[in-house]
Amino acid sequence: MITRTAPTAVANLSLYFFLLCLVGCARDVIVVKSHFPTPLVNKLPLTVAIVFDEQFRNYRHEQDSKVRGEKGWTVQMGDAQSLMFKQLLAGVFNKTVLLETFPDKSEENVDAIFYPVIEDLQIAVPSVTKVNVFEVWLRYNLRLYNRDGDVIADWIMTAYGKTPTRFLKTQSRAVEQAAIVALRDAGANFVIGFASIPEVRQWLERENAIVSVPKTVMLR
Amino acid sequence: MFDVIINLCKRVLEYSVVLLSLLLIGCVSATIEKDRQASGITLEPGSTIIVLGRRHNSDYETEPDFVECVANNIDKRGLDINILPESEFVDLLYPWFEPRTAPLHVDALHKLMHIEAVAEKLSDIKLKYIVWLDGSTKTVEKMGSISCGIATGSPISCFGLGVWTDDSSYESSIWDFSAQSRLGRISTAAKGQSYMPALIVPIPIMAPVKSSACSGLAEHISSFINPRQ
Repeated sequence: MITRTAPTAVANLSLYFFLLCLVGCARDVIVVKSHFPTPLVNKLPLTVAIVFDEQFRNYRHEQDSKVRGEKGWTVQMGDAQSLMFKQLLAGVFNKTVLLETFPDKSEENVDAIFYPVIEDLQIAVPSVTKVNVFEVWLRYNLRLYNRDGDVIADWIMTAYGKTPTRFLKTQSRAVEQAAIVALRDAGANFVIGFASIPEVRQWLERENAIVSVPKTVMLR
Repeated sequence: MFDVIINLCKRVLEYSVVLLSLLLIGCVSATIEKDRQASGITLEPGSTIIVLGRRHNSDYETEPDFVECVANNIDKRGLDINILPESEFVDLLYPWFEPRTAPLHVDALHKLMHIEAVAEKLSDIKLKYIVWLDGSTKTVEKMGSISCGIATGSPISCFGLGVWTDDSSYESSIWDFSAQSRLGRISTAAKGQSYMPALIVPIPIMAPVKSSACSGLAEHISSFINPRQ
């Protein structure tokens, strides 16, 4: 026969409250998944190695909500951003080689090494901004090295994505969609801005690749 | 005799459904304005038309479901044309129709054609018209309240009345891609009040504001690109 004593009941109640608090304070886990098209540009006649390091491949961002009682978010975007950059650079350059670590000088027969680093991700939701859109900002530090491992260019690229509140049923789905739009925007920003970075332009001229650079057209 | 009773029951049920549907739809008022800038349009059979939403404004976005609704409504009108889904077109032309890069003025189209790969792709799909949609549907007023409660031994019951007004405002700009000119503009504004009375169970009586704006706009775009319609 089991008899429930007062201390046991108190312990059980405490456990329930603890579990309730855990549920209330939890974050929504958002795994960003999408396909990304190859950009429609004239390819540069160059071979580039792309380094997606462990931090980039497994990138996750954690953000608490600024509104009391609202859940925060854990955004897992490593796979999506790796896929986006892979597709993007496959469209921009004649040939790409994927690497998980920075190569030794003589290891790869490539014209340059591209090394993206994600520096920041920010989420804004309608309950905070009072605007009827979910927003995501991304900030990348992009680095281009020559085949000897010396820096050709090192620049910051930002991207922005938003999605309307009415369109999607859950906050998580809306934040995921805004992140996908932001990743696509990163691709667009790269295509229109890459060749206009002075160090990149000088390198392309040295490599005799400048003729095939897609025109940087601001279509506005 | 038995068949007659069954048929009578069926008829009563049908009328009840129609009556209930009418009761459950709120009223909508819509206005449409047209501004035609070109005439003598000839639509070649097999041409492609694309309906795209503007996404560059900071505080709203043209809803993808509205863009899809307008495209589907144009498609249903039996014109001998192809309508590419927005997402398919935007992927085919990536990244030239993203919010950051999409042309805002018709003059920008010729700059886009300087990119060889883009010019080839647009020629492949036989693009004739680009229809840009810009606007959104917003809930502008909310009134009333509904309270729900639960008592021991009985299900949740609600009481009250909720009233809200939706306002749709959209503008479409029609570009002739081959002539690289703007054919004209059509704007639509629709407003309607929806109700939700609750007596035990809340019953929504929705005003089809967005769908009225969609069908009105699609009808006028169709007559614009094919005057024989």
